[in-house]
Amino acid sequence: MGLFSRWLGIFSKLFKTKKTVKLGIYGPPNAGKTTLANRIAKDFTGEEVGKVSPIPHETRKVQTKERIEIERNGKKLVINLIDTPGIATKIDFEDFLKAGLKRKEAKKRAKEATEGVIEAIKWLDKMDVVLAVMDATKNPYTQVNVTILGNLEARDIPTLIVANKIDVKRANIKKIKAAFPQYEIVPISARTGKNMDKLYDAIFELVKKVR
Amino acid sequence: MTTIEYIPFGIIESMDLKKRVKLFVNKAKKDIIVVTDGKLSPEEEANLIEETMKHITKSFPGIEIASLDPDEFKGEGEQFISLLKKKFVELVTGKRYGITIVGPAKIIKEIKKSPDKLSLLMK
Repeated sequence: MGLFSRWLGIFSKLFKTKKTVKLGIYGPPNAGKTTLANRIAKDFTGEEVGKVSPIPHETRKVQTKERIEIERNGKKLVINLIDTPGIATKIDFEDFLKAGLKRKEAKKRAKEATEGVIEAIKWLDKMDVVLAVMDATKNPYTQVNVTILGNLEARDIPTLIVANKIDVKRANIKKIKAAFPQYEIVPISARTGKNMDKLYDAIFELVKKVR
Repeated sequence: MTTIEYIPFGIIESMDLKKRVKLFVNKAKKDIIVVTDGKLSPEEEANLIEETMKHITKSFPGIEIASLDPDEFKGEGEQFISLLKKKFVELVTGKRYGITIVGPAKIIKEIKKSPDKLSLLMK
């Protein structure tokens, strides 16, 4: 390497802006994706990303929060946080009625939810790293979880599993570990903030795997 | 009345992706549960979910799907060896091992996966 190109390399390293990592949050409906996105955004910007609700498919459009600077142990990481609608194989209008929505509202929500699922799948190609969120109180071995992880693996996108809702007594991390032994799993409670430090450390490690 | 149809995976594999995905959705819309002796790829599953979403109505709330790979639940070491064997056979013969069940969510409540079986819970 010539002296000039070596100097050019040092110069560009000194002045280049930090690359922004696109961090996607994926999972089935009601796993706590938006609660997690809100927690991350609030921890570093003081602002939230979106509304949360116990009624499934509250997030029906991809929501982003750009240029969040995460700082850990003197290191800095800039992320574009992308909260995606829950992926499902079925969307039952009747479920929304049972949850207390009026017919017109339920119909609108069902239509928007179907579009949200399609949008979430389309966005897979745009991600640099992904947090696959699972509800630790539920059976993790579902086809939706398998499909999400399979698609991320096929696209070579570094992924870690976030086992959410560990503040709930019946949460079972062992079940998730048994179902997906090849993945790193970080148990957290996005609601209470438990273990978020561990998650941030894991995100720093995950980003190192980006090609 | 519930109809269960077995379609050899060879027939499904001979179709292009669009036709393959449409076959499952159209059968589910007619309340038919399809069983096939092969595993869909993650991309095919994602395509199937996307296509299903385009067809959802009040009378067709979507599908239930489950695939089972016979090597999925073996011990880690054993899994690695059989995975290598399987990938080699798949590469040479083009065959994809496993089983896939796709059916209408209107009549299937859930397809439960466990280490050695798939259970269909009907409504």
